[in-house]
Amino acid sequence: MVDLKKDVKYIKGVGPNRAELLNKLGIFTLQDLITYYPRAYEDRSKPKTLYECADGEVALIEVVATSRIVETRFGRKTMQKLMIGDETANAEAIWFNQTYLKSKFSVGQKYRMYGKIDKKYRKIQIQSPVFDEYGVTQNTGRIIPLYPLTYNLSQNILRKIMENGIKEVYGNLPETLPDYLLKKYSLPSINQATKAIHFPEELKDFQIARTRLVFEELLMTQLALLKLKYHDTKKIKGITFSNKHKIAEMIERFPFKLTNAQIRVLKEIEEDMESPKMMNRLLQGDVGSGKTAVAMCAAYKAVKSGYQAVIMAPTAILATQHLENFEKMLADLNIKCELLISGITKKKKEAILEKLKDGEIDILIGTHAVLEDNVEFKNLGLVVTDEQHRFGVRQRSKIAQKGQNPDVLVMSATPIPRTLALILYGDLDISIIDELPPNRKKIETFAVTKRMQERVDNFIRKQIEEGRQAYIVCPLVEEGEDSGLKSVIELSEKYQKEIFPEYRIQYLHGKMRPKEKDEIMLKFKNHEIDILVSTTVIEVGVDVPNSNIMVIEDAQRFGLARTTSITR
Amino acid sequence: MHKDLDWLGLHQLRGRVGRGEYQSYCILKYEGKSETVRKRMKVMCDTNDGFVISEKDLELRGSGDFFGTMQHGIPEFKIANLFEDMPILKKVQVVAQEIMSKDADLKLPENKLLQRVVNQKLESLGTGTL
Repeated sequence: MVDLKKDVKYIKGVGPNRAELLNKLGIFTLQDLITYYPRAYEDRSKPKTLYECADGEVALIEVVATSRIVETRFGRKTMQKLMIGDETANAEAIWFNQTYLKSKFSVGQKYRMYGKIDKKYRKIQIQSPVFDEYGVTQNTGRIIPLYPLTYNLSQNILRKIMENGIKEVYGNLPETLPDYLLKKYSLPSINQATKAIHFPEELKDFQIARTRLVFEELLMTQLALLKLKYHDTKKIKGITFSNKHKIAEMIERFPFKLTNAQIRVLKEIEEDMESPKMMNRLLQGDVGSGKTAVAMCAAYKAVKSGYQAVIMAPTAILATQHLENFEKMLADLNIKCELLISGITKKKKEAILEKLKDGEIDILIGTHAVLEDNVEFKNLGLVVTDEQHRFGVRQRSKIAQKGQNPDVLVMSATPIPRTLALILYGDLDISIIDELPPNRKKIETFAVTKRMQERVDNFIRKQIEEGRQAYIVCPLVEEGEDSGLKSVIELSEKYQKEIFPEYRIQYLHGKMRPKEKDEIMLKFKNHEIDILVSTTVIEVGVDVPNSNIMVIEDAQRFGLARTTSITR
Repeated sequence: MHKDLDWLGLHQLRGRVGRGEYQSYCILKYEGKSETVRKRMKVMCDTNDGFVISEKDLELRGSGDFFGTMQHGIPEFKIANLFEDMPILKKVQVVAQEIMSKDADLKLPENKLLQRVVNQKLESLGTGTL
């Protein structure tokens, strides 16, 4: 058996200095090394004749040296030139500042070279090629892996180290996938796959190897998540909520009809709640799909069954908004809701904590503050949290300690396809609200360029004259970058001075104190501001039903990320 | 990459309006001639459905960036690319479900091999061995 935990510095060709560089790449052990996969490959196995090569092409040629290296000096730089040729043409190979090459070539000897071909003025040149003596396949004559970052390690050195690493493990790696899976899905063994992902003999070999390694990685992740889920379900006994108090009672209290998707999701939640298993459910729904109503129904059932519920929101102002909505719907049911955010006075906080402990508060709504150690419940039964507070398993046990394994509902406004949700949130059950309320009008969306600026401004003016409000958003370029922040203020000033002097304009950005932000949002909500110029901080925000225009500046910046280079 | 630049963020921003009784509008000002940008703008104009947008997003940029912008707590992959490898992922989910329904503790002799790596995975997910 091979020791995969072996420190990388003991691998042939590494040593302490190179080990340090490898460490920077996250490579500490032999295992890390052999799972440092190439990002791409270069096929240096198919030779061409000088005649066949096109100008600018990167190619492999097989040539004979027809001269010695001639070195020319330009100031501090040197150039090495070697005359070469094959049966179709003569050419020259050139390098810069590679004095050591002088002794590497012998006249009449055959070499393989790989590099960029330049065909101009009837002259053929190959620039800074890598090369081998004919018959050697160190740098040429095969498919070469290209690794992602290499810091100060050249691709050549990393490749050589990798070769030694693979030599050490090949044939000795313990198989990780059961035989029946390998057979059923025609996957190569771990030894074959590990070798071929780094040093494929044919391009198709790496595809086969990659399929197996991807299969393994995804399978192990999915199994781990499922195992976690089953463990929670089977071994942790949760609360069995009463089946006498039905969520349907709450559904009828809403002044509007819930969507079929909401009702379906609530059925899933109610089944979880009435079963002894501990609910661990992700509730996914697009903005405006009515997740809060669902949370309210679940909280209703918990309280009616004699338990407390806690609702966690990502911001204080959202928590406040939740409180308003909950109180509106639940007040005449004698369900007591309370708000716990970091801004409240010490005295008030103490009073809340006291009541919470005595069970006088039924639903606590708040920010992360509700997780603090001094927050004690009488009998916490339901935790509703936001995806941004998504609990790791450790935090989940922290919550569990606050009650007898309360049911947990995680809300997410990130709509992702189900297959992906299964692997990203595989340890949770998943409910999806895939329907918007029917009365919601489509938000008419227009993509415009600078030339339309004036028409856009006129359109905004018309809406504001009718009593509406507008958001103008400009995205920050990068976190901590001042220019984005400045641009919000500048833009706001420009609108105020040059375009809409008659309207009340205010800017808002993420660097403001939370209290300041909340005050501005409140003013906007109360229609004391007509136009809010903001960074994307309003993404999780407050409902302002009177606002009906969203202008997004520099919309092309969204999602403009580096494109991932595909392993190919 | 900053979360602000998440493309889905654009959709979520748009969701700030359209919450009342009034017809609402979203105006996307953009510059440049990039084909991808134009495609994105078209998707935004054509639909209000976040699931459609996120699927198109995945198609246009691949999973690395898609998930790079999401919240923490998401498994990292050394070699898999969730978008490109969707067909494998679908197969794997069926296999995993079958295995777990028969042998949740991975104790059957034929699944013994899986146990070790799965436990390593659990550790890397920050949970310790169960």
